[in-house]
Amino acid sequence: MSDTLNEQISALVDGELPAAETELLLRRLDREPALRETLTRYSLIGAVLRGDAVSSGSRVTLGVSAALAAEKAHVPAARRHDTPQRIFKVLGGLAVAATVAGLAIFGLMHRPGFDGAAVPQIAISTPVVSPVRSVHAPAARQSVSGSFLASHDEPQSYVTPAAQPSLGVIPRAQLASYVVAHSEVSSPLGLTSVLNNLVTDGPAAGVNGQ
Amino acid sequence: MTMWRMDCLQTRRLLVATAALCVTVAAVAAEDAGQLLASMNEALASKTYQGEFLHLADGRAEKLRIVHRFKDGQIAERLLSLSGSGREVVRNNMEVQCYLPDSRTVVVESRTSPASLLGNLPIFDDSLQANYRLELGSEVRTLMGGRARVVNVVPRDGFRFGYRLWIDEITHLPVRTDLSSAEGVVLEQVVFTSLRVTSSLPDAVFRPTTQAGGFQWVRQQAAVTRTSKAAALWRLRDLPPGFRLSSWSERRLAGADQPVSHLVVSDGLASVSVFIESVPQAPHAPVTGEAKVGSAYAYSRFVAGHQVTALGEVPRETVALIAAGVLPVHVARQAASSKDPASRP
Repeated sequence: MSDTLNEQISALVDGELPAAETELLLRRLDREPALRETLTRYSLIGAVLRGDAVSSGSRVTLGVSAALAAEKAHVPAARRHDTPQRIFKVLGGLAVAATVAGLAIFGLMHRPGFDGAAVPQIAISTPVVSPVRSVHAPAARQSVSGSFLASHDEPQSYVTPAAQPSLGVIPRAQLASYVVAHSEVSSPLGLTSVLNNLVTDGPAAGVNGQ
Repeated sequence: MTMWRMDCLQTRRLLVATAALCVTVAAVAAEDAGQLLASMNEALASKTYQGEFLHLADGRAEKLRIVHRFKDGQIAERLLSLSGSGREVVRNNMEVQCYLPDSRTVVVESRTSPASLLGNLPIFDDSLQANYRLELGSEVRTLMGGRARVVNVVPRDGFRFGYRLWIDEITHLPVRTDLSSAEGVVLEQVVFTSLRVTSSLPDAVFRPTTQAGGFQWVRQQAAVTRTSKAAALWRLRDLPPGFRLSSWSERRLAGADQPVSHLVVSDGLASVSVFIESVPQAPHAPVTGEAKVGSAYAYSRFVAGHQVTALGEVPRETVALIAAGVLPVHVARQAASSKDPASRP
């Protein structure tokens, strides 16, 4: 991959790529899975550099500290001046929650037999980019009538890992249930439906447990 | 009057006229932008289409396919990941089925109102523009070779996200949507790489492909919907600016043993759901903390024996503030009376 392309992907991750170049790059991303992997990698690197990524137990404390620092920076300006005591109360709650959750995750990740890929990804304090999850390749493809379903890249079945019991977190199914219920009352603009987030392979997070 | 003073007067008049012209141009642009968004909403509600799009968020690029049909007032839609996870959502006027192969789970949720599938599209009236500014952008070429008009929906503060939409000139469908923070940082992009409007789609394309044998099916047991109890028992205090309670109900969610109170606060565009339920029995424990599902944030806390979770496509601070303001009515009254000096002995 050329240096120019790497620089473009890096700029895209940072949101600094000019619009015209973004569109060209999006075209290539559409065609080239390797580019999409590079994009994911760059995003992870950026998240780690920002100190807001948590991908293993040993980084939990660092991740929580960075996230707490980010909390202060992200409080909307209008509110910051309106009710500072209230904000600090909320942030205090978040800090305690994040710290306890961080410890909980640390413990969870060190449980014998822990399989990070099978347990719901947990966001301690966002923006958190979870580690790249293993992709479950289609085990078999069946011939399906109808030109649309028979399209070249639509998987027909999947090999899936056994679900692990989730400890101390709201189960993914419950969170999914909340999201689905919310989709009924939300006001999507364009096609940014909250259901997109359930379908994508991103960090479907459980709530940190206490 | 001296020549110098006359020059000043003319300059002032020119400035006032220029400012007035700018305001008028901006108002016209906002009106045009509003009309474009209204036509987009109409297209989304009435067209049948299929397409593939890239979903970019958190640095991930994932490809999804959508098929959407509007026929005789009935909506059918299927959303499928093409990038490996196999997750898919199939929904119609009656229910939503959410297939999560990676956790071997299927969540099935009945819809409380058949009209709600597209009944919540935002209306761009004056009240909405108190929280958002509409801007008409340039005309651009799309990834698919067509032409689109850009519309910016800019939040007026940090309690909500902004949108940038590329609306196709012919179909009026949004061929690209960027979700961004109030500071303009892009958080999520939906970019269509193919999109075809058609007159009909066969039923077969709405059938899920996930082989869900052996999966855990989490179903809604009964559609219990009462509207008064939740509002009578709970109060939402100190909502973020521009947000108001827009609806409340008590319903049975998929997988929940007991009815869940569902309160909705909205600024006219962004919505936040607040779910309140009795703390489930062991082994589940009450939880406090936040979660992220794509661009949506959730914040959970434990209040008076209940689990309170606020969830919505808004910044994390907004869900945290909303969750922090949820109190049982009797506690809210006590807090209010303790603040009121006249009520003190």
